[in-house]
Amino acid sequence: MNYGIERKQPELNPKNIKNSAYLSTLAEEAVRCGAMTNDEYQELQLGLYHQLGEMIYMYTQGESTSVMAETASELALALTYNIDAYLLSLGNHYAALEEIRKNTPEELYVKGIQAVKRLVFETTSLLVLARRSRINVPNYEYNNALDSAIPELLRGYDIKFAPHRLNPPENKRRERKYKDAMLDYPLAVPVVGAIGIHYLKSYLLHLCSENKFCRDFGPLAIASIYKRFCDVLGESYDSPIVNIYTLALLNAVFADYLKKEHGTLALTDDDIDVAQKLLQSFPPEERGAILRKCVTRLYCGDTEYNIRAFERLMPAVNNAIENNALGRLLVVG
Amino acid sequence: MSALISIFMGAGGELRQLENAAITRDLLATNERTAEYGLVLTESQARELVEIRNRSLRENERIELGSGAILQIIDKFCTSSYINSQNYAQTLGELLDIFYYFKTESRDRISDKDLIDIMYELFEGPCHGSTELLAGRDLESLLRYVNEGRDDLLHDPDDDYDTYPEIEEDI
Repeated sequence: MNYGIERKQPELNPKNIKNSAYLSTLAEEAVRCGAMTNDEYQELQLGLYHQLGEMIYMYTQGESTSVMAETASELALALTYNIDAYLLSLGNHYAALEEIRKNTPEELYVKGIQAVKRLVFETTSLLVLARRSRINVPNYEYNNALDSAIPELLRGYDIKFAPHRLNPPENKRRERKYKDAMLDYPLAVPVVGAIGIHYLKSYLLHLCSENKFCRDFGPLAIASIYKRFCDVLGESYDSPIVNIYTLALLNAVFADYLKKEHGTLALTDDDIDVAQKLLQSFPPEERGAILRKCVTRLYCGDTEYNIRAFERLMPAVNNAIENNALGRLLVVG
Repeated sequence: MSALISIFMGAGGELRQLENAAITRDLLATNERTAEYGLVLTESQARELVEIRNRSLRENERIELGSGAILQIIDKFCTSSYINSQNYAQTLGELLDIFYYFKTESRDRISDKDLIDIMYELFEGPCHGSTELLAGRDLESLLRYVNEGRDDLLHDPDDDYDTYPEIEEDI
């Protein structure tokens, strides 16, 4: 008899569940809180174990029943990466747990492959968008990322056996297999914690936000600030490894602070002096609050992304103001 | 991999125990076929072979799910003229060790079937049933050719061992 009182459902603690090892941490948390029995957990383990055996068979094309431990660990990562991609796409821990209960690991793996295929499609669409919104500057790393590096990574992407890795196609690899290729163009907000296609998709989402911001200021303003940056550094126009959006964002925030004409990125030496003196008189917290307000007022690109990017720059900005070195941080002229 | 280990292997190694029991059963089931050659494994020999398999996989940094290679080795070697009821279990253990060693050393360039076929040819031929010669001399020479990319040597079952280019210090 429950006297009309409903039994409380076991509650998952989201803090114990990690996106980077979703299936494993979700199942462990479910066992911990009583949402999954030990028998169900053991059955899941057994199913995964058999599915890994199937993958070894597929990987060796039936020629070998054993593989080197390194290969087995890569295949295990591939298996769980695909399953995680499907479970994460459900967007809810309880729905994901229900799927784990209803499906065998083999079924989850097949659904995972479909989920990763969708991610590849979304990422390819983002690449098209990033190319369409490309900033017109001769920076090698920036253009190479869009024209060559990212397309190569998509071409070499192995959904079945290495979805957690990013590598160019086999014939263009210089490094050994179990190592990720890197994109050399730095983002203002680097992608942290994501691997495989999730990394590439996030990278392109960030890049699209940066492109949109720059395009909102217009190609001339961006080309001019970039040219000035290279001239000051004495570098050729294609070589600097610099995030172009960061150059624009910093100048835009200080131009807004100085109430310059909307949409301008140009700052003079006098502008820098004024900003330096005015901001030095505030304690760092107040200074931060003033500048953050300027960031939200920009109405260019993606405001949330701009705020995240500026937060990362805030220590350098404070440091420059306190050391009378704002001119070195901003592009002047 | 650390987060995966628990879900694949089970915190208490329950899966491993289940697998060991299943392989032991598979090994004992081969007695039905090998008995016609006078070769039979006892239960304790089967369990010992499973332990040898696990140790050898560990030492050679390999993973095998299921009975795998050992059943193929039994299937091939039960017809050997050098294996009898006295040395059957021990020879199987040694062959298994040799098998995993060469799989890893050749970086998996030789398929299970090819390697077992070559091992059998050498064991029955120039090694005259000696696992020491098989491991230390003949397969080592072969491994060098495989690692040099001479995998053409692997696919001709009629290939004469004496035609392999010998390396002086091995003679």
